[in-house]
Amino acid sequence: METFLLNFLWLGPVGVSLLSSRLSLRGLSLLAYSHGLLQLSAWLYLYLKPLPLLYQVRWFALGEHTIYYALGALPENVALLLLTILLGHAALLYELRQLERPQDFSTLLYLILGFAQGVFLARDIVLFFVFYEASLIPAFLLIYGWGGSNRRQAALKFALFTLSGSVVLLIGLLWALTDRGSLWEAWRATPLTWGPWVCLTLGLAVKLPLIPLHSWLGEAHVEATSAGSMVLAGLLLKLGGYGLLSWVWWRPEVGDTFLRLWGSIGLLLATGIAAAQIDLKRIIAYTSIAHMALVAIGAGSPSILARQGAYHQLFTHGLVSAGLFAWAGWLEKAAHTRTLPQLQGLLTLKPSWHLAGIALTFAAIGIPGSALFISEFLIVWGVGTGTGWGWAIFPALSFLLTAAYFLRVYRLLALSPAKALLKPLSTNLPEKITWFLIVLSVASGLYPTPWLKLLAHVGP
Amino acid sequence: MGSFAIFRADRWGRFLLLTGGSLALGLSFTLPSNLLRVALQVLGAVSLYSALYLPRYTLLYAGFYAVGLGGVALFELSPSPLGVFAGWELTAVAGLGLLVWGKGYSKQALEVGRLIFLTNRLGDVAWLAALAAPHCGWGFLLAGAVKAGLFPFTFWLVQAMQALPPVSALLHSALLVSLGVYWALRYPNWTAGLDRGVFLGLGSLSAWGAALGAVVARHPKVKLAWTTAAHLAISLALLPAPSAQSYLFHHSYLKAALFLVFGAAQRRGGFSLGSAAIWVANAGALILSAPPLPPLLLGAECLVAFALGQVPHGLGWAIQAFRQMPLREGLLLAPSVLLGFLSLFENSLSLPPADSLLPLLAFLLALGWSKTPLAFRLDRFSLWAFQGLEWAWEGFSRWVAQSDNQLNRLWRLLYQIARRSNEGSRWAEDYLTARGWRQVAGRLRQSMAQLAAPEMPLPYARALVWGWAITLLGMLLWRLSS
Repeated sequence: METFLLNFLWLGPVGVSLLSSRLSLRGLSLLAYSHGLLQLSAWLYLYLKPLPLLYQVRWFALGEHTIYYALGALPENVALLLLTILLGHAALLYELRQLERPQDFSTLLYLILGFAQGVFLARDIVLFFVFYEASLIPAFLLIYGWGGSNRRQAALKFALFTLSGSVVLLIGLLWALTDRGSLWEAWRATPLTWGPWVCLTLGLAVKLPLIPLHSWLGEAHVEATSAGSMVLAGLLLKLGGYGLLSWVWWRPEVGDTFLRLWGSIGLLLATGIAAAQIDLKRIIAYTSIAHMALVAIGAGSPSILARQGAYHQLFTHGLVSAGLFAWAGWLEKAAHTRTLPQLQGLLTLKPSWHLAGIALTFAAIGIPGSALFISEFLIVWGVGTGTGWGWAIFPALSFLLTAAYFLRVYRLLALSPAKALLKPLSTNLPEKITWFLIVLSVASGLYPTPWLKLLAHVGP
Repeated sequence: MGSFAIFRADRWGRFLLLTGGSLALGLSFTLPSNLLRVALQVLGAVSLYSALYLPRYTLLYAGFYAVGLGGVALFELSPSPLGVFAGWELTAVAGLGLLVWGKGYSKQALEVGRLIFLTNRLGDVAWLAALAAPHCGWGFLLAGAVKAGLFPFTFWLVQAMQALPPVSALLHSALLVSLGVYWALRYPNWTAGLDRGVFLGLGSLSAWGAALGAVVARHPKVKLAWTTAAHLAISLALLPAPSAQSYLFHHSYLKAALFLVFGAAQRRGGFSLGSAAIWVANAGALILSAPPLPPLLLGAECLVAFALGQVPHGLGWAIQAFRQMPLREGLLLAPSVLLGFLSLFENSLSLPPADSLLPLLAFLLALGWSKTPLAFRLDRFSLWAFQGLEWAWEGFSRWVAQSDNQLNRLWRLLYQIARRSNEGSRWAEDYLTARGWRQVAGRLRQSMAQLAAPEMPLPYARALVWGWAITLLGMLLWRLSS
C-alpha cells in the first residue's frame, strides 16, 4: 500500500493532467476537489505511518553505476509533500473560471504538481534531476501562455536562466556520481569535494534564487498570472532550496562560509530592492528572494538547528508567499492595477480586504504566532550558536527590515484616501483561497509541533 | 473609520473587558511573586477602567490586551528560547496593535506604531545575536534598554503618547517596558560577563537623562513617559539587588495608576480634588517607599519626583477645580485606587528610608510650582538619529534597486546581443545557402553536364556528371594520399 501511495503522489497528478484536457469547466473544478482530497488522504496515510518509507527498484545502468527508481517519504520532505498538494490545488482553483483555455492551464499545473512531488520524493540524484528538469517545461509554458503582455520574454528568460542552471547542475551531479553512486544515503554519507560542490550549488542557486542569479524571478512573477505566481513562489523556488538542503549535504568548510556570506549579502540586497519597489507583486517577489536567502544561510550553517529552520522555512514561506500573491492578485482583479500609488486606500473599501491585509502583513513580517516567525527564529538561533553571533545579525536583520517596508505598504493601502475604481469580481474564489492560505499559515504558526517534531530527526 | 465596522462589537467587548479584568485580578493572587502577577493585576485594573472609559472598539482593545498578557506569560513561563522571544515580541505587537488600530487610527498613529515596532525590533536584532553568544549580556542589555525606552531610546516612549491613557497605563507599566529590565531578574544567567558597575553606570546616566527630559517636558503625558524611563533606569542601576525587583514592580503599579488618573482628569477637563488626592497618594507612595539609593541616583529620583509633582499643575489649581464627581467617573478612578494599595502592599508597608524625604520634598515643591517648563524636547536628537538611519536605509534601498535595474538591463542587453548574433548567423547561413553554395553548385552542375554529354537526356546526363565528379574526386584523393 505504501509503495502504491508513494507512486500515486507524483503519478496521480501526471495522470490527471492527461484527463483534464478534455473536461468542461465544471468537470475541472470537480476533478481538482476530488483529486486534492485523494492526494490528501494518501499523504495522511503515509504521514501516520512510521517514517521513513522507502521504495527502490533498479532503473538503468550508467557506466559502472546503477541508477535506481527510488522514492521515499522522510521527516524532511513530508511537509513539503503536503505543501505541494495544498498549494497546487489552491492555485488551480484560484482563477480557473477567469482564464482562457482553462483545460490547458490545469494540465500544465497538474504536471508541475506531479513533478514537484517527484523532486521531493526522489531518493536517487538522477531521478531527482529528471523530475527537476521535467518541472521546468510546464512552468515555462505556464508563464509563456498566460499572464501579462511581456510574458513571452519573461518565460524565455526563465527558461534560459533555469536551463543554464540545470546544465551546471548536471555537470556537478555527474562529477559527484563517480565516487558515491546515485543513492541519497550514499550522498549523505560522503563529503562533497570542491568541484561538484560549486557546480551543484550554482545550479540550485539559480532556482532558489540567490542574487545576482535572480533576474528571471521578478519578471516571471510580474508577468505570470496570480496562480502562476503562487506556484512559482510557493513550489518552484522550494525545489532549489530543497535540493540545496537535501542533496548538497556535506560541503567543504569554506563552502559553508561562502554560502552563508552569499545568502547574507543576498538577503540584505533583496530586502533593499523590495523596499524601493512600487509594484505590489514585485515587492512580494523580492521578499521571496530575501526569505529564500535565509534558507541558503540555514543550509550553509553547520548547526542542525539552522538546517531544521531552513526546512521549516521552505514550508512556511510556501504558505505565506502564496497567500501574499493570492491577495495581490485579488486586489489586482478588483482595481485593475498593481501599482501602489494607484492602489492607495484600497483596503479601506472593504473590511475583509483590510483584515486579510493585516493578517498577511503580520505573516510577512513574522510576528509571533505566524508561520515564518518560527522558521526565522530557528535559523537565526542555529546560525548564531553554530557559527558565532556575528553571523546571526544578518538573518536577524530580516526581522527588522521586512517589517520596515511591509508596514509602509500597509500604510499606503490602508490609510490613504481610496483612489482606485473598483470592478465587481465575478467569483469570490480568489478571496476564499486567500483566506484558506491565511488560515493555514496562522495554524502552522500557532501549532508548529507536528512538523517540528519530525524535523528533530534531521541530522547527520 | 467606516471600514472598521467589523470591530464595533461593543457589548461583547465590554463584557470581555469586565470579565477578563475580574478574572485577571482574581488569578493574580494565586501566583507567586513575579512580573506575571503584576501584569495580571495591572491588566485587570486597566480592563475594568477601559470598559467604562472606551467609547468603542472595545473588542479590539480586549484582544490586544490579551495578546500583551500572553506575551508576558510566555516570557515568564516558557522553557524554550523560542517561547521567551515570542513573548518578548508579542508585547511590542500588542503596542503596535493598540496604537495603530485603536481610537487614534490615522496615518500618524501608524507612523508612531511603526516607530515603536521597528525600534523594538532593532533591539531584537541585538537580543537574537546575544542569544547566539553564550555569556554575552551586552546584546540583552541593549535590547532591554530599547524595550524599556531608557535614555537615549526614550524617543519611542514619548511618541507612544498618542495612545489612549489606558493603553499607556498598560504599556508603560507591566506589559511592555518592564520587560526591558525584568529580563535580568528572570534570567540572571544572561547577565553573565557583565559587571555590576555596568548596570550602575548605564542606569545612572540613563536615569539622569530621562529625569532631565521629564523636568523640561511640557505635556503631562510626555512627562509621565520620561519618568517611566527614569524609574526603569533606576531599577536597572539597582541590579542585581532584590530591591530592583521591588522598585520595578512598585513603579508598574504607580505608573499604571497615574496614567489612569490622568485619563480620568483628561475626560473631565481638569483635576478634581479626588483625582488630585489619588495622584498625590500614588506618587507619594512610590517616593516614600523607594529603596535606599546611592547619591547619584537619589539626585535623579529627586528630579523625577519634581517632574511627577508638576503633572497635576499645582495642588491649588486642583482644589479650585473641585466639583461633585459623578458616580461613573468615580468608578473610573477605582482601579487606580486599587493599584495604589497594591503598590503599598508590594513594599510590605515598610517604613520609608530616610533618603526618600528629599524626593518627597521635591514632589511637594512642584505641586505648588506655577512656572511653565521649558519648551525643549530632549528626545529630538535620538529621533533625528533614528530618522537618519531610516533615510540611510531608504537611500541604500534606492541605490540597490537602481543597481538591480542595471543588472536587468545588462541581462536584456546580453539577450539582445545573443538574439542579434543568432539572427546574423542565420542570415549569413541563409545567404550562403541561397546565394552562394546553391548557385555555385548549380553552375558547376550545368557546366559539367554540358561538358560531359550535352546531347543526352537529362537523368542520364546527371548520373554521368556525378559519376565523373566522383571519379575526379577519387583520383584527387588517391593522388594526395600517395
